[in-house]
Amino acid sequence: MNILELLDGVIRKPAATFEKIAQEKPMGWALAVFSVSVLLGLVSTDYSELQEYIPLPASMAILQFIFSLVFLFIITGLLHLLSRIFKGSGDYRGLFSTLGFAQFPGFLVPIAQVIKGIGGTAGSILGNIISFGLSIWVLVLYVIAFRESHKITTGASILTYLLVLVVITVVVLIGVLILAFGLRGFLLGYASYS
Amino acid sequence: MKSYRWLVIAILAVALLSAIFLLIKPGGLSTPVARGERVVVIYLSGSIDEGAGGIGFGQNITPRYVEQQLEKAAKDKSIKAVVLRVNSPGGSVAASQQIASYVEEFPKPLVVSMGDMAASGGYYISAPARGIVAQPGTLTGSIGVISQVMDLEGLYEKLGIKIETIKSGRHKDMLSREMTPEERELMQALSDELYEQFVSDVADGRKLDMEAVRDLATGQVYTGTQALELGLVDRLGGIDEAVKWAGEMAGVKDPERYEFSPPSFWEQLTGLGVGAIRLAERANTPPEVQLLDYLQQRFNRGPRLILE
Repeated sequence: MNILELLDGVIRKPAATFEKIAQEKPMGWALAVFSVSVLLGLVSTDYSELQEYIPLPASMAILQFIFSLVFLFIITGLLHLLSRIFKGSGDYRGLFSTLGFAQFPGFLVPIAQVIKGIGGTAGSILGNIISFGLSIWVLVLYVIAFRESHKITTGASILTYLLVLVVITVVVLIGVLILAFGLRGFLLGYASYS
Repeated sequence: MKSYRWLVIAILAVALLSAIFLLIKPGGLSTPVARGERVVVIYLSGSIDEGAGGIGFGQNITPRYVEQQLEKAAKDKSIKAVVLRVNSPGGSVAASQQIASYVEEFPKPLVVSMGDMAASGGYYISAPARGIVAQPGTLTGSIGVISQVMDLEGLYEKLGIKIETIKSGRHKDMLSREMTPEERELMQALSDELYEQFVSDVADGRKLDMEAVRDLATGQVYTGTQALELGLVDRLGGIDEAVKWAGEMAGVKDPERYEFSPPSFWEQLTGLGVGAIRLAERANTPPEVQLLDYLQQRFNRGPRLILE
């Protein structure tokens, strides 16, 4: 299947297409689809409110882009590890490829943003509804992508995502605590020398 | 499975067009559509310099930036008048004169609202406005010209730097060594001529007598209250007062205060490129060279209209 057929499949027959993607593992294309989707989302973001705090607000977009790519690699790894609980049978490369393609509806975000901007109040409402719809669509595709890649049930797929959320929250909390205590120790140490 | 390639191609094409539109549209889509009668407030903060006129770290007031903003205001039919919010200690002579000419030639009513400081070059660019509103505590005036030349020979010696000068034209290096009495006179004459231009332009802009301006153009700094008494400004007040007055000049009873949207996403990103290159260049420069660069830029730069 070529790239256009794969993208068409993601829209119309996601389950069958993700199964195919998990077998073929087109990681390069998956990374490209994910990257373009993230970039289009960033272009559609209004950074002007940040202008008061940083000289070039759009520079945040570069950090966000890099962070999104790193996050994709991490989340794929976490899902892959946690899938063992539900006896998932797929591999990392297949899962990475399906997750990359699951981001495809993100291509439509700029369209929703344009509708929001030029359509007055009605356009704004419609644009927000489309944006919300796209978010739900991507979430559903993520669940299907993981399910098809690792041959698990829909419930197990959703549960694994929730587990990933818990793991990330715990890791972030531990990081914040380490930082806070480290900073406190540093400040106390600093004070004792003064 | 029957393939609908056209559907994917259509999605890709519309997404791309939408993204291009969002990239080049200033301020994204947050900018409201032009309606009503508005007075735009344009902020001019920092020292006045030729610069690149782009967006980057350490923004200055550049002629290019002022020209772009005023052009935008002139073209927009919903904008009836302009308020320039000036907050500047001054800067280079030619850049100040260029900006002053844009202010003078601007076709719609233009009022200057002075911030903390509109001194020297900051006053130069304000003088041709149809009206000037200052805060009582604004520092303004400082009408005069300054040139500072630093003899760095001692520092070069300490750093072990020897400079050999090959010149054609006997005064070519006069700003990088101790000046001769003749050169000092040349510089004084240059400074005096620029001073006369400054005084003349202020007199023209403020419709004041040349002698009266010369009397107060001692380089002295005045508060907004003092400047009002001397005729250097017209009213005391803040931006709202300036907007109201500019609206009155344009025959608008209740003008809507407006500000131009921030630069587009693309402008912000390209601005980042310039800033990042400057930062990288600076990071790779040894500290002693940075110090010399700073001293040379700070002092050996010819006449300036700046509050020192």
